[in-house]
Amino acid sequence: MRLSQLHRPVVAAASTGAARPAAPRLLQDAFAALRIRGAAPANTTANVNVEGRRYASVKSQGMYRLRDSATIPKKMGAKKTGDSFVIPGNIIYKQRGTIWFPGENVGMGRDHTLFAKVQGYVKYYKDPLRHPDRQYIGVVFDKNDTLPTPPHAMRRRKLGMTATEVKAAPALPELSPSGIPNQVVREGFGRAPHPRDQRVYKLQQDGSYSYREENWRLGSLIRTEKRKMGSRRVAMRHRRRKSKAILLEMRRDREDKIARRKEALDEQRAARQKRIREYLARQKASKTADGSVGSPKQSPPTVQA
Amino acid sequence: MSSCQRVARPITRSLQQSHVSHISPFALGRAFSQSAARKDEVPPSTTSAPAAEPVPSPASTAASPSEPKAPSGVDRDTVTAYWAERRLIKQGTPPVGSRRRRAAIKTSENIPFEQLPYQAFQEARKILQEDRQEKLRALQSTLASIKKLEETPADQLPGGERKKNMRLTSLRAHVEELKILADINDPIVKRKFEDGLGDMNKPIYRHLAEKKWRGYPFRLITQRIEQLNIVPDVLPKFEPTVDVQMYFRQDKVEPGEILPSLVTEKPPRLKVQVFNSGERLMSVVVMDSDVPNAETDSFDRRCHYLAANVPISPDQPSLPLSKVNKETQLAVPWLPAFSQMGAPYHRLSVFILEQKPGETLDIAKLKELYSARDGFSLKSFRDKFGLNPVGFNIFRTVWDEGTAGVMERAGVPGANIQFKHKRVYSLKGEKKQRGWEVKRQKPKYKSLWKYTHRIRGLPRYKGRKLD
Repeated sequence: MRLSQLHRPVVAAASTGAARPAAPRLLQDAFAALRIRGAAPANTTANVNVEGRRYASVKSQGMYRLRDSATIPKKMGAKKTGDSFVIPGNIIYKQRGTIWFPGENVGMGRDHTLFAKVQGYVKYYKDPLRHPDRQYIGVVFDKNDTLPTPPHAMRRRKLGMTATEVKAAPALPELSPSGIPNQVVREGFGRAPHPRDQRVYKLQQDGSYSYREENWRLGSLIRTEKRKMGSRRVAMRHRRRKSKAILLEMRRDREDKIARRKEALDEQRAARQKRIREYLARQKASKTADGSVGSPKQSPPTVQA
Repeated sequence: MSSCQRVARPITRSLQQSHVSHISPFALGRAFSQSAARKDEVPPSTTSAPAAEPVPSPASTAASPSEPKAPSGVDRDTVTAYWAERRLIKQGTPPVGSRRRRAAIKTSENIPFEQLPYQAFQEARKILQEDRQEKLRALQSTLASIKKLEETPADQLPGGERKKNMRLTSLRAHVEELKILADINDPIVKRKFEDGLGDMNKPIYRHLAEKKWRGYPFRLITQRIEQLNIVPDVLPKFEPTVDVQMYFRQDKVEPGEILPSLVTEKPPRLKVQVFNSGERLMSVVVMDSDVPNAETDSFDRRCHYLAANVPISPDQPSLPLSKVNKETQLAVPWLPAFSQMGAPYHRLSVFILEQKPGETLDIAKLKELYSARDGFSLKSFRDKFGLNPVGFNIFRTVWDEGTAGVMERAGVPGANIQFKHKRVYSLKGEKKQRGWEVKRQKPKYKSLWKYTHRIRGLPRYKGRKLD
């Protein structure tokens, strides 16, 4: 139907007040026939067209409404009604913006979707003490519980966990059934190697007789965390810590070197003293032997080939 | 160049000039070692007359040493070396102020305020002195009117006894206010407070300390009380009025920090700073409000430490929990904080409760009531003994590598218990499996079994090989 056609009865109604021309008589008659009540006086004919109206009982159902086929339906709204049972992660309400706010035991996603955080029953409520106008959705453990909880009352909490006993893992035997060690530990370098430099190689259980570091140990070799780029103060602290660590390491190395040198010297000294002791013992033995023979004069020690 | 040095530069310059021009180095040194403002040993008292202008007397100058030295021979006012600072801290006489400030003092001459060559500064000091005089006069007149009012019988006054009492309380509050106002603009008082040398028995230093506490620490602790749900869980209503700091192994911990269990094995040292005068008795409670209970599927509470009748005064804030008297103060000894594997974090709150004035708690009764530790309720403890919770601090604990050892040493069983989340089953029904492979599991498609994998949940038909 064109727009001009739609306007026609209105135009007609307007024109009836003034002079009634002969041309639209036909239309007038047609409307008059449609009228339920009898012919009205001339001054009320303006309302007549509006009065005779059908109710939108069919169209109100949305049957004939044109959907916008160019967009995807967003499917907003309540996914769970009040008192319905939910488990953690269940979506309760989808919305644009915060029409509803997350109340007790309810979380909000980054698109303002409300979801349950515990197992329980959904409650829609208002909490004027928390905020005068906001409406909240909460989840309670017991269906008969009400929200909001009274102020200063203890929170209702559930553990939601089970206690299990941890069995200690059986200790790995020293040797594998084939007679080779189950793991090889390689220490770091130096006199006092840092435990950080320790490497543990485990015998593979796949029958390949190869040794390999565990993945978590390999992972610990890599520094994944980034230094927090914050203030200059933080940077300075890091710098200081680093230089201090280097200093300590150098000192440790130096001490290590000194200790090694000392050890070597001690060894030398011990060897020398041992030689002297042996020499003296030999002397004594020869002296006693000579004494028994009867020659007190002792010749200076001579190197014997 | 630091601000201190920048400020001090013109002085040092002028001093150097004057030094070369006419004053002998000996005389100069003596004049400045006087330094009344620096070592201002005259305490800023509220009732006494204002500190008189220092009259340098050579005898007293010669008698007094130039600086108070620590026992180690390191000066705590000018120390800048790390090792020396550490030594001073170990000796219990921590260095004064910041390192930058100490360095500035070390490099600049020690000039008292009276001799500083800044005219505007000296004029301002005069104004402040006048203001102080005014406040002191007001204080004297208020004290006189209080005395007069106290002596007058109530029936001779308009309003009778009630009005008289009201007036007296308001006058006394005014006196306290004037005591603070008389000293609040004194630069020496300010410096002493910032150096941590203020006498907490004096109202001005207590006022400054409270102001400082209300700035950040109070807001932090109230936020922790709210965020960690201490208020509905442990007490229905609570507002701290006392500063409580907690030190584990000499390290101060922030409220609410998650601490390693090895650190919390030994009881902490508390620093309880009260902001009103007088000594009072306090009770100390450390409680865990998150003890998991798998049978009832809920959380219990446990008392980790309970002591009572601990005297606390503004100048005696230190309260080491391990040093309380075993007979007269300790009711429940320290139990290390621990958490089992997988359990959510435990909140261990430290409460300081003020006892009624002049009342001591019966330790034997406390021992009898709370030795079991489990099911401790702070609310009931408070109500039973008429206590007022005033101070609060908190730390948290979770399972870590050291916890098993800590529990073993404390004789607590349950280190081998792990908590796991209960399985929550989906509300949706089982869905029938679909697909080409599923369809060809049956013996009808025996010829295709070599091309299909076995699917979990479906029966293995006879004749099908393991794969």
